[in-house]
Amino acid sequence: MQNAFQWALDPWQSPLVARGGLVAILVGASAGAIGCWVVLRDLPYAAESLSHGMFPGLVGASLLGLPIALGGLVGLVIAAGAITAARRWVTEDGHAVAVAITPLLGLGAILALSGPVPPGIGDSLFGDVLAANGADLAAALVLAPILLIVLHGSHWRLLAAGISGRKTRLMDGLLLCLLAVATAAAARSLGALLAVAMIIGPAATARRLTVRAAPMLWTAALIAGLSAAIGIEISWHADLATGPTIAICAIIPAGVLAIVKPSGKQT
Amino acid sequence: MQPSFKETTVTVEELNAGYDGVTALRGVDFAATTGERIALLGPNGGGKSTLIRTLSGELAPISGAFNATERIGTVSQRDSARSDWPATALDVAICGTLDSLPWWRVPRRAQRTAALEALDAVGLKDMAGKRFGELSGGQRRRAQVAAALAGGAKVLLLDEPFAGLDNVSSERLEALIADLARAGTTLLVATHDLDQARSWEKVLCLNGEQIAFGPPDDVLEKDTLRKTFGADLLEIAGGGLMAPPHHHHDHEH
Repeated sequence: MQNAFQWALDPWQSPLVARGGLVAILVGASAGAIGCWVVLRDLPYAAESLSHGMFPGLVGASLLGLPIALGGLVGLVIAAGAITAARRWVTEDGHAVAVAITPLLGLGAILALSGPVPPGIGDSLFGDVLAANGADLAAALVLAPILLIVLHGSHWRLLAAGISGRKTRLMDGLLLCLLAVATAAAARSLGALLAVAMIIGPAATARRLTVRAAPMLWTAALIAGLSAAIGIEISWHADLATGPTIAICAIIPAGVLAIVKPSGKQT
Repeated sequence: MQPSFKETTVTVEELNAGYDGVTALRGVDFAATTGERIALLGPNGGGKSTLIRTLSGELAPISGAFNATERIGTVSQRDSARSDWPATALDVAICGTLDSLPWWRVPRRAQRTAALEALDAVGLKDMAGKRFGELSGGQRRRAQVAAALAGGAKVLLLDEPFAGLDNVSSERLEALIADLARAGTTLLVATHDLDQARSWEKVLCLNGEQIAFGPPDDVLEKDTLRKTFGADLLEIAGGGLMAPPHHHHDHEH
């Protein structure tokens, strides 16, 4: 028993893993909670697209030697602007997102492949949990409570928006802003392509397990935090890439539920 | 308890209303008092929903004015909450208190208490923990009424609340409407049921414009009903009249 405990504690004795793991747990839990509203408001496509849309920003930052998070944020602003512009010509929201985001992904690929592959590009796509430094930890410690407070403050109005069924661009706008911040924060640990797993996976699981919205958010945050911790354990002992392992851990419960309880949406 | 005297709660003066500047309803002019049940009668597209959406503040009047001395609550026809939306009947009632709170405040114990009392008033106290989407149509309407009451509404606008309800649910909702009126609430209810309208205090007939307003005995006569429903009005055996049956239709404009 003690051996098993020791085995589980093993990775956390490395300061690199402990710091990176804490960042992944904090950022993951925040992303998981926000993901509940993304799932409930039917915005998973926007969530996935935002993370793809910031790709050129990430590559640009790598090429220019700027902080990856800064590149991610600039990329998100460009992606949001492109979606807004595309909406002027394309009526369907989903189509507008596709029209806006696909060229941005292509632009990112052109930038990444036009010369020598810039350092850190793999990390920006697939994450590097262990690369988290003190600033990343400080950012996560500040960001997680702020996101939690904003979610707490807007909880009832988001809930009411779903009951009335009215179009609530203001609420969806707030949600996309929160999503952008969570994606930018999670991109560092999990990578731009895998951050969406932390946003959607735990929320999809929690939705099937709970009746009310508040427990759903806490459950999703807990699943996301646990996924980060378990992913780190598995990747350490099996010598796997940490970010993708965490992403898979975040999705597995949703997959298991789909097999065990394949009722789909409750009607 | 029946209020001892009637106070005017809603005054509507020469109101023209519609969508995107296009008038859909003209010349609405009436006043409602405490404890009054006013039936809004009219064909589909006659302007009942337009009037309700204007009085609830969702649409701006094109011209004219209205004034309410009490808080207005709405039970909308569009019952569009998905059945898997993670909200209970109590959550729905608590959401009704949001309009009375500043945007930065979240509901606390006082709002929860008000919501529970409102659920009790509509006979849904035992259903407080049940998911809104799992309630029957009639229970959902009553939960929406509870939301309006929890928000302190003394004027209720109900848009076709009886549409799609079975007889038992309809009777319970009608009894609730009578109870609320006795307690002093003003109710404007869009309906297709002439018998129901006959038993209420006032009737407002609409067909793109105000056709008539007044006590049912004065308003519900053949000429007015023909103007209100046009050729759709059905004559039934014994010389009675029947409004055309309700068709579900989308009120998105």
